Amino acid sequence: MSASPRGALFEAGTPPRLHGSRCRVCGLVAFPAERYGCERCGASPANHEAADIPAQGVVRSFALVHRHHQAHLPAPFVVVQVDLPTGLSLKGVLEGNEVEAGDRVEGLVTPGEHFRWRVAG
Amino acid sequence: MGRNPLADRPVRVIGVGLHRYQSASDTTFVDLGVTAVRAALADAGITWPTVEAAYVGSALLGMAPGRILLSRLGASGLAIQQVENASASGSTAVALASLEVASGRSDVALALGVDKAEGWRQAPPKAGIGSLEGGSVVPFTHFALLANAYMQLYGVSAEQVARVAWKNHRNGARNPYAQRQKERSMEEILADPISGTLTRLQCCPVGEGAAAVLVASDEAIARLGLEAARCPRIVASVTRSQGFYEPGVDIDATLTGETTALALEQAGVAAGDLDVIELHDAFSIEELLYLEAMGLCAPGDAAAELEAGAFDIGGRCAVSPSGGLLAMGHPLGPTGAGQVVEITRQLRGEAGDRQQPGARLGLAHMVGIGAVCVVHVLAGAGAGAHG
Repeated sequence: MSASPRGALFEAGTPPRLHGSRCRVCGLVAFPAERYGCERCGASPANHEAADIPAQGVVRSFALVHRHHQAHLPAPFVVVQVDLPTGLSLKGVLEGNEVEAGDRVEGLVTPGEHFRWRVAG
Repeated sequence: MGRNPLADRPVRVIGVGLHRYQSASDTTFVDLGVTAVRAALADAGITWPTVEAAYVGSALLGMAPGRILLSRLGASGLAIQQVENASASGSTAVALASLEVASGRSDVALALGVDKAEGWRQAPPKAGIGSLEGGSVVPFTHFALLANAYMQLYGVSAEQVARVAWKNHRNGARNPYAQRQKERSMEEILADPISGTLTRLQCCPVGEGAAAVLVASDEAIARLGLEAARCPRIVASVTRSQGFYEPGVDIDATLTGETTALALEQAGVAAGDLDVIELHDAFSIEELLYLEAMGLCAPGDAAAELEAGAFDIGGRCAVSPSGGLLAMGHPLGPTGAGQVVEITRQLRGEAGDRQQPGARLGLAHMVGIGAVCVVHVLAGAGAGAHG
């Protein structure tokens, strides 16, 4: 199979690329790359091909998180849900605090290899 | 769809009982469960050996809580089965106990939900499917994002969403079994932000408790000499899981809409016929989303209708008169069974100062991680064709 389901989720770039997959049977684009079977049609992983997805999209919604339990991610921080042109809708942490619905955002890979969204400048 | 066993052989609730929902304590799960079952037996006016099968719903207790718990009512040798279906575990215990009776295998069955908030373990993270957000999006943030989208789409304010919690805390203050029994001001509701516009009192407490529901056939009700007028009928029981939804679709609301539509069809009623609803209001925004998905009002109208009192006790449909998950609490295993306890009391006219006047038809709704959804429709014993 050509997808890389157990590899990294993304790689740095401008914008970063998300490692997804496309179902050869029904065309569904999945992220992360599908390793078990297509959620829409059930096609086995052998029927999936790698698909790199540019980490760019439009903010659907956002939330300023005031309380959080993970020490490596101290609150407050902002989470956004981003609609991508490929049809995916992905959540993630925003770099910075200023965002509005409808803002264009793109990915950012931090020096610590964390994925963040940032408002496209 | 196959035939509906509940239509073939009526199943009625003959007894209900609770252990108060509360914060984590030294009370054992056996104490919690035995208290609820004894209360349900007393409510029904039957003895323990009458019960032929038990379904025990819990999500956190671990393997085999049922037998050691139920044996302390007298080890009768009845059939015991453990049920785990995330937040819908208690609902699924009710569904299976109902099917047990509808099938004719048993005449009297118990659904017990019991849990303690300890040792939280889930399978989905073990699937090894990564995400960009990692652990940054916990349930309250998932629903904060939905609240943000809803408020933008319909021009609804954060205060309007918070009114769900204001109402449900007011209801919970009248419920001696609720974990939170305190009426709150809007100022208190809006204080202490957790995520987005959701505040502490707009998020449900997860503690411990137990809820017991005894169901029986008409033959058993006659044989045991029970008062049929106190035995609402379970007229629909539907379980569904999330299908493939387009990205960005609100999974829980879509699944709720599908499951509720099937349950209303099975019951032969319309959403507008419902007098009382207990729904999965783990976070305030959910009540608005689900009322719209269920068809109680048009998309975008729930906040205004709520503000006008439509979903108050005494309104056109009382929603979460128990206090809901927000005030009665969400101890996982008990929650869905506890909803059926409240609906039963409402349909009997025994809900005291939480009573929805003239309640004839009620609906109980839970969603659970997965996502799964379970909906029951109950009709009061005097409710026309379903009586």
